[in-house]
Amino acid sequence: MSLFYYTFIPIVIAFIAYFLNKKIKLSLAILNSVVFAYLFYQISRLYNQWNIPHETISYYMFDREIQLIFQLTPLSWLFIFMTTGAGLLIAIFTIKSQQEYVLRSSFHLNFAILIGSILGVVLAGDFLTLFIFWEIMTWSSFFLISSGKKKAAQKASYRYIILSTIGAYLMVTALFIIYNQIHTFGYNQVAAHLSGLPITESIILIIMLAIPFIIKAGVFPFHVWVNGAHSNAPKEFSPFLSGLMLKVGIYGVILLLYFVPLYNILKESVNYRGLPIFNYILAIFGGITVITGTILAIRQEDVKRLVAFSSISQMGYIIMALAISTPLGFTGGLLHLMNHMIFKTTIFLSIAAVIYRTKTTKMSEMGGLIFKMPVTFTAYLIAIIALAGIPPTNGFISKWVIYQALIDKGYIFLSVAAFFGSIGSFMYVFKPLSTIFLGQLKPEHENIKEVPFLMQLPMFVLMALILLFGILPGLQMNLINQISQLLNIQPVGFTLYSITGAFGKWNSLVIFSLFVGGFLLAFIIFISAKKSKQVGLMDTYTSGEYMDDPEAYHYAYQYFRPFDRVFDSFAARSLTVIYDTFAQNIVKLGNLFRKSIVTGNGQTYAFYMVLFIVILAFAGWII
Amino acid sequence: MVNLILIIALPLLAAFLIPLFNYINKKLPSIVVFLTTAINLLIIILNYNQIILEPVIIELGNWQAPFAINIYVGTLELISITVISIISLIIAFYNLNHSNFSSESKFHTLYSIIIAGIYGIVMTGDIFNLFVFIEITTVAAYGLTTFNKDKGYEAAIKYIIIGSISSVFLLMAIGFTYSAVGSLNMAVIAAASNLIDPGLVRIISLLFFVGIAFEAGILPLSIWVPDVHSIAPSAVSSTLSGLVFLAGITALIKIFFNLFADPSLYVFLMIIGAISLIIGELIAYQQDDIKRMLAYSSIAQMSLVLTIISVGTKYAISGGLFQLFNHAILKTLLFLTAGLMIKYAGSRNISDLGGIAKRIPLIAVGFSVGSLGILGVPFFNGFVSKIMIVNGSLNAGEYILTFLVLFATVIEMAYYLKVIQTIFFGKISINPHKIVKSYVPIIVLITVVFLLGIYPELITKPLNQATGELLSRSDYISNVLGGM
Repeated sequence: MSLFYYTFIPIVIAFIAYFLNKKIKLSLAILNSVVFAYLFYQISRLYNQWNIPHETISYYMFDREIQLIFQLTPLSWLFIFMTTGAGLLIAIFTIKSQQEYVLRSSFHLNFAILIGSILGVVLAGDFLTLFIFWEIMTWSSFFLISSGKKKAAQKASYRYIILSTIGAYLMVTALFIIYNQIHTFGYNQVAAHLSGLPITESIILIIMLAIPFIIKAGVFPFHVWVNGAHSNAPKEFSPFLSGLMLKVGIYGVILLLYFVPLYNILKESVNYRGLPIFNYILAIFGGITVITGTILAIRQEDVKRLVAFSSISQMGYIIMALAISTPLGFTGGLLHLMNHMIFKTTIFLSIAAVIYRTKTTKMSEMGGLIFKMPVTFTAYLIAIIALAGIPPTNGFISKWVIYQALIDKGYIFLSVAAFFGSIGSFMYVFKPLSTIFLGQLKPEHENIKEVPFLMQLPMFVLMALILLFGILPGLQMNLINQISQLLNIQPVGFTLYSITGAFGKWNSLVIFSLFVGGFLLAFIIFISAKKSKQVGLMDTYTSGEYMDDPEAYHYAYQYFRPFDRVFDSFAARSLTVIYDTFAQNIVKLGNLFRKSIVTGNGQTYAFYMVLFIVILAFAGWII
Repeated sequence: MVNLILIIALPLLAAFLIPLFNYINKKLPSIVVFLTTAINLLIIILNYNQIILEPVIIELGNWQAPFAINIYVGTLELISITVISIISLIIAFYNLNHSNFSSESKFHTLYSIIIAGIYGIVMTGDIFNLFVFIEITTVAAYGLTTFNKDKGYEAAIKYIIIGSISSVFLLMAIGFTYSAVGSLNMAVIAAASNLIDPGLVRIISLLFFVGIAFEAGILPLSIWVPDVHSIAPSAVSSTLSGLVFLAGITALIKIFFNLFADPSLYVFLMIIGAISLIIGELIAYQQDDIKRMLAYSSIAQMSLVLTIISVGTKYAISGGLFQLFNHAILKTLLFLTAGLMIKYAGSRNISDLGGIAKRIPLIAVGFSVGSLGILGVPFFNGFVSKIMIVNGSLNAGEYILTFLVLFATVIEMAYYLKVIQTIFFGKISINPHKIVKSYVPIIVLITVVFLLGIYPELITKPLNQATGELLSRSDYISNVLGGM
């Protein structure tokens, strides 16, 4: 099947299904799922067919035929596989959960267009195609975020799209400056041309090309949109936003640095501690992102904002690992990219399930749901074990490789940031676990049931993947080594169940067997011990005292207050304020113009005309 | 090969016969106007292929140029009149029974006259004829503005004041030119422009600029635009915003590129356009009245077109012209849908239009398509023109200009998105009024938008030819003055 169709089938089906949805309810969601399943299947068959020829479409512009090129590489295969996989899981999840939604059909329409455009971005073979699909992706995600139920959704999506568009316009300016010199948009030609330019000019152009991707990835100082977008987007879209949209920015960074490859040009520039200055600054920003995201996440009371900040800090990990440009770093970054998508989607899906049942996102208003929603609890538990980086889950492996990479090169600040992020991440993921699932059940949640099977199915799949990749990392390493070979990076040694790091090998099979052995031992002891007596929850908690209001004893609000107090002054200085002030000043300028120029008085207008002539005449038109 | 003069003559004839038709049947005027615009489109289609091959010149009264008034239709004029005829047809269809004034014959008379005037401005080859047609257009516009009973007179008075001052300047310019060259024919003036005293040329060009730019949407000469375009009925607003501005910019281009091609003046045009663009966008953001916001957006787009065209290179001019034509189509769509939304909600304020997209989905989608087109989303027609504009200005090395254009686009995004978010995702807060929903114009315009977005070569191929003609004055002169 032609590569071009991967991009257009979702979009076309979306429109057809949108009109169909008016007649038959639910058809849109089911049609979406079917289409994504089909695409997923086709894409998995494309594995290892790296020699598919490029496809071009001719578009007549600028007085000549422009070729829009589509190509398939291992790197793009990874992303389209992840995209359609995540899209499929979310489409299945939303069959049930979107039923009571306002503008529900527009959600599916925009979601399908979004998937199509991400496929287009990743399959693009030249910069113009990339830009076209990048814009479509930004716009469809804008409409998706706007359709959230909260009032703040409008402002959040506004901020998102304006920031994204500023980045995209910087890229288009740089792109056309280059185009006017070489009259083509292809990756290789652009790279060849940039290496021929003087070094400062090429660095400025590279920075302008890279900024939209860095903005989309949510790296400091552009992380201001992530928070608002995540917490206000519809709850079914947040997993995708965290899991994939941020990653597309990372794809762009990998594309520019290694695929094009602009790294060779950057190497010629100023080097600091073995890295080009651009990479070093990017890595430092990654480290700052990790720390900022972690500290801000710990303070949040709203569970979606918490997970949003957590995504920001994990993106910081990936950027750090990619920016340091070592084989281990690259491998670690890509591993974390894949693993983060899996476990973050799981976390978001379980939280979406909880929100679906309890209709609130404030953690202090929930509690004790462990017995009511056991599947959701298990999914969340396994996902946070992965996020914290504990074996035998996949999150441990990616974090381990990143630590090895950082320590191997001796970057102290970055390693400290990484460790701080790890410890902090355990704090902030434990908070929702304890406040939502453990603790006391609120009276209004007495009748909550588990979510429907269609919503549980994605969670099962993802849980299985977390454990599978934790035990057999070789499955992922196979693909990653192919990507490394494509990008001329030295591959990292691996077998099906072990990875070779800088200081030794990680053998996951051994560790997993140890875990299973330990678990079995504990289970045997539990079974063979005397049967325990069932006691009411509050009896042990209050040592037999009588109380009538158990929910007042649910420890949930300001969970980590002592820790937060340390960072209060830091968190008070928000970067968002700077952006907002800048925007407000522009608005004030417009207000000034309006009040001074548009007076509403006809005589003043006549005066303007004469004044105009006089000014122009003396400014040089006549004199 | 039908005589192109019919394009101007038929609407005028229809306009003066409408009172008679009105006497026979009240519905007849609107149908007559619709038929006239349809016949115009037919005439243009019949002549299309011939004009692409070679510009058509028609001498009125069979007198030779330079003694007679002649009509010159080159490629640029051809594309303009095609776009004008399609849009005027759609607006005439809308006027059949969706406008508030569909049953008033005076409305249709004036509409017919303004269409004739617009065609005249674009097609004429004689500068005094240009003045006459500008006056016809403006007087008809004065009349059309007053159809809104509460504020129409105030807006029309401001329009008249500025219009009169501008026509004085225009008349002065024509007077100076005539005295210097001895002929009113554009080609003769173009041929003789090197012989006129350079100082006088600059004075004349400044006076021409002031005289025509008020009709073309450049601040501060177009300060009447927000009042007039927001007060007028939506069919009139789309004609004024889309078509009259198109004609005005075309006339300006012909004067500054064919008549007095003085490259040192282009810097002035660029600076005026850039300042007008930024001010227009910033003020548009402040507006709460949706039609006023659209009017400021029109001013900003026209200034953008002027700025880009004054860069002077082939790529920039074709980008600017394509943006001009796209704007005509998109602004019509925007004004028609905005007018319907205002009628539905009973209020002009954006904050009152919350959530109405659920009730009138097609109209809301039409508005969104129009705004996304102006913003330049891929696969809409505005994307191609925006890319061509960026390419053109970077090609000429104007980095600051590119930055200003993109900055203006970001501000544009801010206010258009505000409206889109309100109508789709806001809360419904009004009591809906009953309106006659008109779907055909909206669907036709949306189709045209996407068609141009996917096949821009429908316009860009002729446009390249037009730009080539524009940049080579000698061809123009030799075409018209042929035998001399």
